Amino acid sequence: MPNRRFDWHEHIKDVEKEYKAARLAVDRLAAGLTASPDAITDDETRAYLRNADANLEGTYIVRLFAAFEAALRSYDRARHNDPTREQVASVLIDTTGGRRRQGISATVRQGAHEVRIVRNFWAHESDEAPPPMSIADARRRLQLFLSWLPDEWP
Amino acid sequence: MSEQREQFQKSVEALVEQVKSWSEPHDWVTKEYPKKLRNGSHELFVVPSLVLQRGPVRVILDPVAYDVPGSEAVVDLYLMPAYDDLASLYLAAGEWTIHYPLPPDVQETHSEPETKSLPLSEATINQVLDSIAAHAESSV
Repeated sequence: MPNRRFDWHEHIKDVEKEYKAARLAVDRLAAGLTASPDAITDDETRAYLRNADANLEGTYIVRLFAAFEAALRSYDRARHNDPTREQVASVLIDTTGGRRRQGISATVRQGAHEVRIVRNFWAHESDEAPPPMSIADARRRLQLFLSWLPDEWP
Repeated sequence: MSEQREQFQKSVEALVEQVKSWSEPHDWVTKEYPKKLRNGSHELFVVPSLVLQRGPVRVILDPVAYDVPGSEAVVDLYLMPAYDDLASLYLAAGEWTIHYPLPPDVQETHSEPETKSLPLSEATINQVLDSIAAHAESSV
């Protein structure tokens, strides 16, 4: 069954929407705890709730980028007719072509690389803190990159 | 097939046909894409989504879910290709309502984005699409 670019766009948007739902839930719980401090009495859970709150956007940026990387890997494997081919994300971004084999613009590629650097930080592959990036900004950059791919591939 | 899911599919199909017939006379070119969704039991089903393009501006009418609190169905409107949120359509008691954040230049305050809720009609969908086209950057 062919891969449709449309399905990958939708998958990435779904991840962002899950983030928004999780953000709302965590914010409501935090507000509830302020009003009723005894609602959670376990100190460790309270501490991890603070971490969950602080790390939520980064956690979802990791998932967002994983969906994007899976789309690029699928396209790369089809392009090389090799279902086991493995390339790291930075190479996939630089070597992926576009519709009718036209190159993807340097600005769009750079946008995706900047999300990759943020992903690396949140996935603890790098200790160097990148400039802040919202999940909406990350989603926008990755969707723009994907829009250069063909409508479908085998 | 659950009755709710079947009703959702019928409602979305009717909405897509309605929006096509209302927008095409206003120079929007439309194309349907089948969208795969999963229900709570992880069963796959397909509903139509609708891409609308006028000049460099492309938007997608994208079915999201059924049986959500306060609504029988939700369909979102995004600016393509970045999938920026533009508006949401909610179905309640068989009637669609469109919730559309006013563009920043017509908002009176800058604290919270103001949202307009309009009953869906040929006039309101074209009012929203015209506003999107006027404020959107080129999306091609």
